[in-house]
Amino acid sequence: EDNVWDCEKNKAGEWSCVSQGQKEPVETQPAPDMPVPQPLAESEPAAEKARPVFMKPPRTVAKRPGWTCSANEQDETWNCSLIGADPKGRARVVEHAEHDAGLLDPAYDFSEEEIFKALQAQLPYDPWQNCLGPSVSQPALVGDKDLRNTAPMDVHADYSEVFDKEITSFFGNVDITRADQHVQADMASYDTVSETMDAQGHVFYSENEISLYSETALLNLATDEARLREALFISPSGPIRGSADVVYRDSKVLSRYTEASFTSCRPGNQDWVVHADRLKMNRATGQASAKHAWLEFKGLPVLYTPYISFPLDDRRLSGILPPSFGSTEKNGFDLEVPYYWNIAPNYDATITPRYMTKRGGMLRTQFRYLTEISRGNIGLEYMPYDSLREESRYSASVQAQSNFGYGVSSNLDLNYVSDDDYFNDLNNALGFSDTRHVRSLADLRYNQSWMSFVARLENYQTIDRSIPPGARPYQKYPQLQLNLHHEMDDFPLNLAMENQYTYFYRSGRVSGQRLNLKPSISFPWQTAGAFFTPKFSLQHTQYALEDQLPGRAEDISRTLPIVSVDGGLFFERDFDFGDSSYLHTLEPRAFYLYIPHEDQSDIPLFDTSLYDLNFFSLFRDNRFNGPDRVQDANQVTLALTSRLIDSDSGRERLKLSVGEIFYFRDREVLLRGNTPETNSLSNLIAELSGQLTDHLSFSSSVQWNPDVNDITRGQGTIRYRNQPEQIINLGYRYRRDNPNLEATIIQSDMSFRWPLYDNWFAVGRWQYSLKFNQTVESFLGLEKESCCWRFRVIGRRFVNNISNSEEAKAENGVFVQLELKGLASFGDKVDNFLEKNLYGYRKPEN
Amino acid sequence: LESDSEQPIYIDSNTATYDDKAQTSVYTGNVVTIQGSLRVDSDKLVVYLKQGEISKMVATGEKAKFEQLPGEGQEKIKGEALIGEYYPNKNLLILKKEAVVWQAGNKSASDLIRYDSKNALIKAGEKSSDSKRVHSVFMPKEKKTQ
Amino acid sequence: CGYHLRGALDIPEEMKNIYIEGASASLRDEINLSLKSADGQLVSSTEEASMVIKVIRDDMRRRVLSLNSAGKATEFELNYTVRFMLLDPTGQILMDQQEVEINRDFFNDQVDILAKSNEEAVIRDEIYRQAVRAIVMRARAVLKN
Repeated sequence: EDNVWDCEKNKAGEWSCVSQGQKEPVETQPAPDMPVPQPLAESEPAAEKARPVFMKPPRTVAKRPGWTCSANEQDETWNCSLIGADPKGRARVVEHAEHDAGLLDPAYDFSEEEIFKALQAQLPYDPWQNCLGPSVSQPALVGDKDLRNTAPMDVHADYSEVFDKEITSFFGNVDITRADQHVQADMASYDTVSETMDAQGHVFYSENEISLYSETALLNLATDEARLREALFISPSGPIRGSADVVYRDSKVLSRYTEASFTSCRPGNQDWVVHADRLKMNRATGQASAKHAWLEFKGLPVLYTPYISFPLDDRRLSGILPPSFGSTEKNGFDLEVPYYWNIAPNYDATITPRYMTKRGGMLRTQFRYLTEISRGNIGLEYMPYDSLREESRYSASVQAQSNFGYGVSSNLDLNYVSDDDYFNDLNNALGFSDTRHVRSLADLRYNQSWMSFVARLENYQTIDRSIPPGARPYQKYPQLQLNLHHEMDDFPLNLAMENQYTYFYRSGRVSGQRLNLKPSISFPWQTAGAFFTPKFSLQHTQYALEDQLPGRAEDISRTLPIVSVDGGLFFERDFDFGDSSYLHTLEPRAFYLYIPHEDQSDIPLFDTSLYDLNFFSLFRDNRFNGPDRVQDANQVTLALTSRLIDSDSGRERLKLSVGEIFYFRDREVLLRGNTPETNSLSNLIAELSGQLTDHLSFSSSVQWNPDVNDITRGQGTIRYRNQPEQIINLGYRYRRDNPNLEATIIQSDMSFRWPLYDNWFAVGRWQYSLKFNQTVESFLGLEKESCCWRFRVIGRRFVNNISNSEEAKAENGVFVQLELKGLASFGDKVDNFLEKNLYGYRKPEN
Repeated sequence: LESDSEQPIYIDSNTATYDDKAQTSVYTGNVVTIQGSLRVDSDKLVVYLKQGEISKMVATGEKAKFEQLPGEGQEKIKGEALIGEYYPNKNLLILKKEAVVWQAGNKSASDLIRYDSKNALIKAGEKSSDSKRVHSVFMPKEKKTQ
Repeated sequence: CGYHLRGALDIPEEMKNIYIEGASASLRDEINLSLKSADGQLVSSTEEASMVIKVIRDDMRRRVLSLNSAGKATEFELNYTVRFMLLDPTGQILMDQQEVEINRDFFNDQVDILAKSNEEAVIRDEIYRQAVRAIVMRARAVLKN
């Protein structure tokens, strides 16, 4: 039955009705209208009352819907009041006093949050919908604000009065729409001449780009101005929501708020709120700014700033990026506050003042540019006075890649640091100090489909004092490389020529020019089941040296023929395992290599050393990785690869490769020394890897040395990766370069990223050297990703004295970063660190 | 117009019957009633008399229509509804059931509209309930092209 | 024992004229080389193409694998991931997004840094060749059935 209540609104604005069970006032339902045309009883116009008294409780809920009962003292009966429809016994959320540890009571109480939710429902799309989920494209905005002065104004109400065609007033559930503007209120009066509207009582005003709630609102529809008091607002493009004592809408795009508070958190969540005396939002420039603002995070006042500006949409805007702070033993407390300056659409700069308690202040500027043909960045860091070193320090870097078209391109990568310890000292807790040289190079390239030419200048600044001057890398002033290749169309014949001229220079050591020409002809014969590729090359290398060691020739030339034959077969067999069908392959392969011996002991080692021995190096035609040495060889590599391929997807589920070189002569060409290698077998190399399930994969390899009958190399990793959140990597590495000495590397490596709860993640890595019984690198961190803020703290313990050689001492560092989404974009220092350190971690695209 | 209430009332219809005892006369068949600038077209009209004075007239029809000139040089006000009750001495017209009023380009519709032409006041809907919702449409004013 | 020489290996007809979208220069060159050896070719527009390889992500990264006692990097890992999809010339998806990931590690204690950068260049070329073989393998598996 339609249960109608007789309620009176008392002065406190509290509705109270006489509840059931007590004397129920008989409510006479107006008699249903008689069928036409029965003449009605005389219905005189009701005398004009001072103020319309509403019979039904207000439509929009100021208080929680349903019953609220309070015992009245005298007669122990309940005085209940019903708001909205009678829930008829359905349970509802009682206002829970959710004051967590915060000193301050929440910025918006329960009823305000209910209004925010009502406001949210009024917007054409839910701005928080792709908060953490996949980003859904926003639907086209309904109506267009420019149509306002041509669109009719549509009004629905319970009752309206038009006085003298000019002043119309509407009462009861007033609902007004004009183009994209939409107003709901209990009462509204509209002056058709001045086109001003005055709305009262539960006023909801919404447009495409903002929706507001207030008790009173004065709107000038002609000039799009409006003034609302005690307003709550949501600006969906932020998304930003908040409240203000007075809201002035000065035009379609400009709005000002006094005594405002705002946040980007979803209604119902107030993790962070900014309180400001004045807030201004400019839709045209997409920029908002606040004055005298203080930040409250989880109920704790955290930060005060006289001025803060932040973007309203994703246009690049100049502004302060989130500060990051950390601390290390070496530098003490370390704070960086980057400022992003969007100079022009294709130029921008990031200026980062940084202060370290133990060293002092420094300034880092990074300028980026982008043009049609070139893009790059210039980085400068300057520290006027490092109090620990009592000197100024600086570093500079220039990266520029240009493409001039027609196959011509250039690449510039120049870096310089003022002193060896620069990276070591001035990297923040996340900095990487494992590099021993700083490389600078300048390339000019010309590429066509059949040739590639590179002219390069290259120099290394060695920043590791433990590398003696004699072992420091040569400079290539310049190096010219011309590679030509041509493949016959109808006959399996490939011609190729690699030519390289380099002038190697190193003060105090043998320097000189080297010309290396290597024409080659190969016959890549290939069918479905087999391939056979004989290849003949002639390598001619000429040196013109200066400051050569005494007793060694200054002009050396070496010409050697290189004969290699590479052949293999492909056997396969389909077979079913479980419910999926696989293809199992057996691929035997043989690689014969013959190169006569020529004495090369006079030739200096400019850029040549031994390849690291692994399965792939078994099939290279030189065991040295530079032209300064061409090995003497008469050997054959025998290898077998077997794959298990999932026939539907073509994915390799399992792959095993085994290979070994059989030497038919001793190797007399060596890097240094003159005791030829006489073993007749190389290490036996076996590699096994596989993708066991969609998430679990492993790879392993082992090298067995036949002479010492022992394993000299071994490594294995297991990787579990399930969507971006769950990553576990376990690894073990064992390496013994000289089979007769003990191992050079025995190391375990474990890293993970795992969700804890409520979007908290733990990240960590632990690299432990079993040889030195010492943790070499380790960090543990917590990450929180929520709808409106992101927080990271990473504690790191690492070995850090790359530049001096005495026993390395471990260092601790802590790195903290807080980002308030919508207020400032995230600096990516932490993302880069995690990508470098946590295999499988990829920067979240947001 | 202000002077409408003093003007004589002309009624033209197909049939007309007078019931002396009930003091009512009933006109049917495209009835046209005119008083000064007020004109009412309806299918049926019932006139109630009191001491010889017309106290009330009730026009009904598949949309009884009315129009009136609110003032010299002003745009005519028009309206229609299933039932129209006119109180000449009070210059009050009450339209009931699917009532619509057009005035200066603005339109209001409701199940109950009161038009008090003496003090140019139109009241639509019912304050006490939402059973007689009002729907008004205001046309935009022609903007002087800036 | 059921093993037989592999049947028709050469690249299926549809893969003869390939248009590549979004690949890095090195990957593009390698695909070009492997196509040439199976007498296919790279074409310069989708109209001439019988198949389009759309590369979404083509990313060669270098990571430190192990450090020695003084915290100096001694082993590096090259990690190459290429995410691609296969479309027919009209844009219909033949094979939706797939990822090929190749890891190669090599010893480099940064003493003979020039020699090791030569080695790294050789390893990169081998990675690209391996990636192209994997792409062709995946494409053949999908086009076959």
